[in-house]
Amino acid sequence: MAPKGYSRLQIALHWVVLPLIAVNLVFEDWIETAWEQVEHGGPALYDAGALAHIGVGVAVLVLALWRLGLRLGRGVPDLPAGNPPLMRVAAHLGHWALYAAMIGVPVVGLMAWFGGSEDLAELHELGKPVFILLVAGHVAAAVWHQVVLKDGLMARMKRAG
Amino acid sequence: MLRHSLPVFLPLALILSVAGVAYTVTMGHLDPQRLVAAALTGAVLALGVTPLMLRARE
Ligand code: HEM
Ligand code: HEM
Repeated sequence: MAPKGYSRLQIALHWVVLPLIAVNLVFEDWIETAWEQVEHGGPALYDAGALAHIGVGVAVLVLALWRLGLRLGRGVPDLPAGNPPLMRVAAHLGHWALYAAMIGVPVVGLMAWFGGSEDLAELHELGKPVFILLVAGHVAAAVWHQVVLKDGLMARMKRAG
Repeated sequence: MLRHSLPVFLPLALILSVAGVAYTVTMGHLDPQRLVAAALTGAVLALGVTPLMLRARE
């Protein structure tokens, strides 16, 4: 049986990831100096910027895996009843795509960094538009629920149930 | 909780550390700093994978 709401831990993990992803998107050049050195065949350089980008990214990955474990174990509440089927499909796809990005983007970043691979680095850079599009769509959907449907969906990510 | 997860976490940390080092070496990088970092990262990732493994066993 699906739980009635998200647990406190699930809610905390949902919101903690938001500033972490934002930091790596906004301060994307933190890792630039170190990466240029790797590209020129030098040893990996762990300056403050590289450590910050990698630390934040690995945190996103670990927290996303933890959340996935909770989702598969405890479960998540059913989508609001009465939403048209197409909307339910979109919500499911959107949520799984967010998980895929939270896991895929840092994993590819790690593989680029430790493997010194420029191809993987370019793939990793795609993470930026992917996150922006997915999160923009996600936030638009949340606002739609709040303002147009007025079904109180937002409250589910604020109060544990 | 800890008694439950440690037997999963420790071998997982070892496996992921070795995997990180193996990947780094395979890609042709032998500098010690990068190898140590790869091993540490593998251990940290085990933190995230442990809950998933515990679910899978239930
Ligand atoms: C959710 C986590 C992450 C996000 C959102 C993220 C985002 C970004 C962004 C926006 C860039 C700049 C791309 C550009 O220059 O156009 C970048 C570069 C880079 N990131 Fe990440 N990153 C994440 C995690 C990681 C992790 C865990 C690593 C592991 C070491 C990593 C390694 C790199 C590297 C090596 C570059 C330089 C690539 C280049 O400039 O070509 N990232 N990242
Ligand atoms: C201002 C930003 C955000 C708002 C307003 C927001 C709002 C919400 C709301 C209201 C839900 C609950 C949906 C339901 O009850 O069915 C939800 C779920 C979800 N959100 Fe967000 N969110 C935001 C940012 C993010 C970010 C940055 C991510 C990840 C990159 C994310 C990933 C998810 C996922 C995967 C779910 C599905 C439930 C789960 O598995 O935890 N959200 N969000």
